Amino acid sequence: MFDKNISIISQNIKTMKETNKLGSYLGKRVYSKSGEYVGKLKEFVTYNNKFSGMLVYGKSNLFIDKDFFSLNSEDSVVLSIDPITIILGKVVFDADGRNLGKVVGIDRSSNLNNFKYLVVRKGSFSKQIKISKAEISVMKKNIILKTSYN
Amino acid sequence: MNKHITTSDEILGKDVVDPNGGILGIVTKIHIDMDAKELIGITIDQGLFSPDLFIGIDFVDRFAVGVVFLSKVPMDTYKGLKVLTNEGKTIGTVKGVVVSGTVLNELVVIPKSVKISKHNISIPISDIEAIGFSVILKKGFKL
Repeated sequence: MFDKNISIISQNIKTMKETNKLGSYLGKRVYSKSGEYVGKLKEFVTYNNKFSGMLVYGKSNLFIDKDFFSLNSEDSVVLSIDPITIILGKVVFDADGRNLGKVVGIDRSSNLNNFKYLVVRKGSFSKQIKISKAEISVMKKNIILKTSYN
Repeated sequence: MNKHITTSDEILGKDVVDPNGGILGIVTKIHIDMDAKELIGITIDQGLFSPDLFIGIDFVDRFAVGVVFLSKVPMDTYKGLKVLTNEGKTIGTVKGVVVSGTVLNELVVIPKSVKISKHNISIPISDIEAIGFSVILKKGFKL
């Protein structure tokens, strides 16, 4: 992978065979903790001149902090979290199985992997419904609520 | 009419949803044991490129207003899922499942290439971290 004649100046690295170029990870597929495809690794990011994370472009464009992934493989990257933003577009069923629509927005109070409300809408001209976290029973492939919406 | 009684035309055509919220397909048939006069299962149309799936009544949690909710994820739906190590290496795809009764014991995986393995790979449930959109294996899994 590397040119043969490379002089190493490092306290930690003995040989270049132990290393990988960051560029080799660009374009790799990124999966969530539960195996959902998130997007492709677009770019690495620094903050205060230190490596801080990566940009992933997919259904939505994300910055993922370095705390939530490690670079171990050449195939793809598996996160240690299910990013909250991947629930955009998922279907919401109430407790009686009524299809309330899809998640069109997420009300987050911070940049943590959490949310206050989901905004759900059935069609372009339908009324929006706000669903709080406490109302949610299942949030995986789609969302099932604990409560009924008549 | 008792609100807890429904009819076949109310059930046919309804979406079937598993415990993870996955929409498996729509109900196309209802199966009745003619001697016992009991509902024994439903058939789901999973779409154009997937075979129909029979679900025994034991797997049905309830016939809700909007959908049919299942109580368990049918293991047949694991077939075709991509299998990844926790480090992100693609091992292959799920070919089949090995069960004891209703308990999943192993996944049988078709390797992605002969460099990974020349034969199908059996992965015990104890090596599996998560089964969702893909199968993610536990950290440190080695072939």
